[in-house]
Amino acid sequence: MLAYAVDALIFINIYAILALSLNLEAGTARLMNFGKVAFFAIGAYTSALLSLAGYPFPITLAAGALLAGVAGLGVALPAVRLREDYLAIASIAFGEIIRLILLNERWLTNGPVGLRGIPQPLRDAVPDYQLFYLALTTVFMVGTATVLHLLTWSPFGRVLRAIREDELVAQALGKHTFGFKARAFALGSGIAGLAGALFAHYLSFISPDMFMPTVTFAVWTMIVVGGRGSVPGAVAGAGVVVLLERGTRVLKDYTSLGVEPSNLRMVLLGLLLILFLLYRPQGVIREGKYEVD
Amino acid sequence: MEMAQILMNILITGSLYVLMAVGVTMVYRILRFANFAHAELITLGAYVAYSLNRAGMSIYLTLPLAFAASGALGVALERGVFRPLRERGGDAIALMIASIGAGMVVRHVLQQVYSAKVLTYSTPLVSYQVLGARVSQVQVVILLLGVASIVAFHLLLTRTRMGKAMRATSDNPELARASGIPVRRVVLATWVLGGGIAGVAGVLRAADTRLVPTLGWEVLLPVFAVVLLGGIGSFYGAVAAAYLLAAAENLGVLLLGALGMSTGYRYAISFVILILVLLFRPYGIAGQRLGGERE
Repeated sequence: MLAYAVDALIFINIYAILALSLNLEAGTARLMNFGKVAFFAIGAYTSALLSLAGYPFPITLAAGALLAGVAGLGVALPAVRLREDYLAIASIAFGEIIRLILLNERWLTNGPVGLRGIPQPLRDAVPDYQLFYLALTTVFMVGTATVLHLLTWSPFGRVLRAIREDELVAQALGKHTFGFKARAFALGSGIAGLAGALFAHYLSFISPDMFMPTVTFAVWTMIVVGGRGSVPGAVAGAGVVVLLERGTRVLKDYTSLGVEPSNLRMVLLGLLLILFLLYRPQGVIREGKYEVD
Repeated sequence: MEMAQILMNILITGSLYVLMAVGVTMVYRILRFANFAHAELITLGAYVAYSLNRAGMSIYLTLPLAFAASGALGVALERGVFRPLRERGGDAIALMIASIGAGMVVRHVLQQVYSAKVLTYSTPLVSYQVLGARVSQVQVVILLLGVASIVAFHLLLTRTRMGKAMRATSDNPELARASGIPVRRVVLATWVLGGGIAGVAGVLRAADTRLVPTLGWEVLLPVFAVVLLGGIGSFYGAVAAAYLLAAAENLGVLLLGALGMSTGYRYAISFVILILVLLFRPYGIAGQRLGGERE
């Protein structure tokens, strides 16, 4: 029972990091990244492959985040100037291309079978591994949230919010909006890569079907529910979505309800998205206001 | 493969794309958002046809009912989700996210009812030799319906009051409303037609391949590629783009083979085209830039 709760908390941490990264892009800067899962996957596969090749965890983790960030910059340079719905569609297509590469480049990724036996850091050195991993992911989650909170309320974040509200005005004030958007997208992608690496080493097994577009949609649900633009909201949204997933599984185990939990979960996520957009578009935790002192 | 067979495959794939793209392009133009729930309009028709087919109905006779079911779902989504959201000030991105949510709900309700198993219709396994190419009976129907729908849409848009009203509304909804065009009715007609044809296309695709809950989702991005390549709202552009994309996919697979790359990348062809169109020619081959639209 305790193991189950710890497992859920680890997933909340990992998804919260992912939601925080999307919140920076979509919530603060209005960059409609619907290919979030691609950068999560790049981080996961990079760290897993390097780790299997014998490199130590801190290096593989950093490499995963870095490569995802570089990939994010590569996407951002041509794409952030697109109209927002076009960016959304283009980034979904990018995510699917990455998934096809994971499926088809067997020499690198082992294709649909995926990677097994990904080394876990300090596996034999700590008595309760789950508890250790909870601590590890908590450090990264709190660290990410802190950095993004500071960043959001720094002059950099102020420009991102100005771009979100009216890009022309930001440009008229002399801001090089393209550079700000590209940096936000690259940073968000790097953070998603970090989440991917933490995910891969926790499960110690990854395969391409873990990186379907539904992951992106789940993360979007987190920030829509949590409140777009709100750092604590992204964390709360991740909690809601992960607990919902766990709840549907428990329901399956302890009741005779003849509903497949994965179906129930997706239906509930879809309804959450629609209901929040209709009745509470600001989410559960509204974005804070900038105080001029 | 022989040239004749390749050409025939291009025509078959292209005809299905025409049927699937009509609804997306009209909704995108008139209501200004990318409707991801269109995938499930395709899938719903296919499952309705499956139930009727199991009950003994010929797959061709199920087509009108699949049209009705998917058209009705389109109207239900418009009234239950998209119109309320627009009235509450939801922008294009909110509508798009809501359509993703609506699609998730419909897809997984269908998956719950029919399971995620691969299903097949019982269809007569007849095939013909046409100009040196092998064509199944279902594929003949696809080709005929493709041509018929192109002609029907052309006549609808140019010869009927509703078609004129649709063109006026897609050009400028405010002006259309001011000119006394019943915009709400035009929008509902758009959902019925676009959704209904998507349902028919779903049945045909499922009959030609197989039926799974992701039937519509698998083709959604290629359909978006057709819509954007054709220019949002341009019916003739979409027709041209449908056959162009079908040609690119069918010839691209041969190219992948020749380059020694996995044919698993066949789906990537349309994704790459989609991205290139968005980056370099987002108003498509035939479409115009919308008034006041920023690059």
